[in-house]
Amino acid sequence: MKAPLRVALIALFFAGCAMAQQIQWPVKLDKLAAKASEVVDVQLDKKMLGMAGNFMSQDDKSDQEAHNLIKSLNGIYVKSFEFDKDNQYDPADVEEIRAQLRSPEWTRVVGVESKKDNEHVEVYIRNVSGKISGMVVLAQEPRELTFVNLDGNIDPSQLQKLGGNFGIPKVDTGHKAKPAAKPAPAPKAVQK
Amino acid sequence: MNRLEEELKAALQREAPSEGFAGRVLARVAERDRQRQQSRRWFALPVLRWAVAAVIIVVAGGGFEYHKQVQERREGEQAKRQVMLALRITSAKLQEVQWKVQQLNRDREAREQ
Repeated sequence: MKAPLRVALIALFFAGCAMAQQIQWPVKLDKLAAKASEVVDVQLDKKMLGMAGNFMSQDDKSDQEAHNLIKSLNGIYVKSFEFDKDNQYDPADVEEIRAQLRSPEWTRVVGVESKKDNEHVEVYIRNVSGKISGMVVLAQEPRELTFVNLDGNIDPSQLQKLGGNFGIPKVDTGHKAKPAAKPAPAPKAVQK
Repeated sequence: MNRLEEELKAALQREAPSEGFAGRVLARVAERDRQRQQSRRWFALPVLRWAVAAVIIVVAGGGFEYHKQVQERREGEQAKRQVMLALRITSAKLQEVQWKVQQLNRDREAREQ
């Protein structure tokens, strides 16, 4: 095999591997936009994140924290649909996303299922060589479906900061927050 | 012939030009041609031509650069808004999970007591 062809094939292989790491959003779910009363679709790659970072103020705390978080990310992808009526999406379609998260590099760190409220929220992290290199939040509610994918290296301390930030008031849980430790092996919490 | 016709005839009758009229007209035409040629000669100077070209390039380039910067600023600010929205959603969902897990723990603790 000639050298240029070999190089091209190797490049294709690595490009394929990089693509494979991305969580693919099922095309079927994109049709939900027509039914939804509110749609959020954020697709920011590394270039766009860099551009956004240039416009973040050094004096603003939220901007600073956002900048610290995004500087090591390769992309932020958010899809969120809000509906006026219950059950506007097929949970089986969401299963397509979940299936991709069953690969060995992904770990479900939290799963909360509330049968009473028919809510299902899960947090997955991608662990590569002991580092968090991605996070997915998948939240299913009767009138809302949210998918968040932070692709890239995430510092666990920054992950902790995400709660109670960016204009979201911190929930007073009445419990002292535990210090950040290594990610727990998926505590299954099922509310009945 | 009425009065009006007579007045018209008097007004339109051929008059001999004053002395030196043709000379003055020719001189004025020659002066205008000279001025025109002089201005053309100025532009014919290579330095001036290059200077005009340079000014056009600088103005066009500056305009393009300004437009690019405005466009980049708009895209950057839009990207920043999207980042903040995405992080706000992420934060809200993580808070929700945290709240639910802690609520469950509290319920469990209450049951155990």
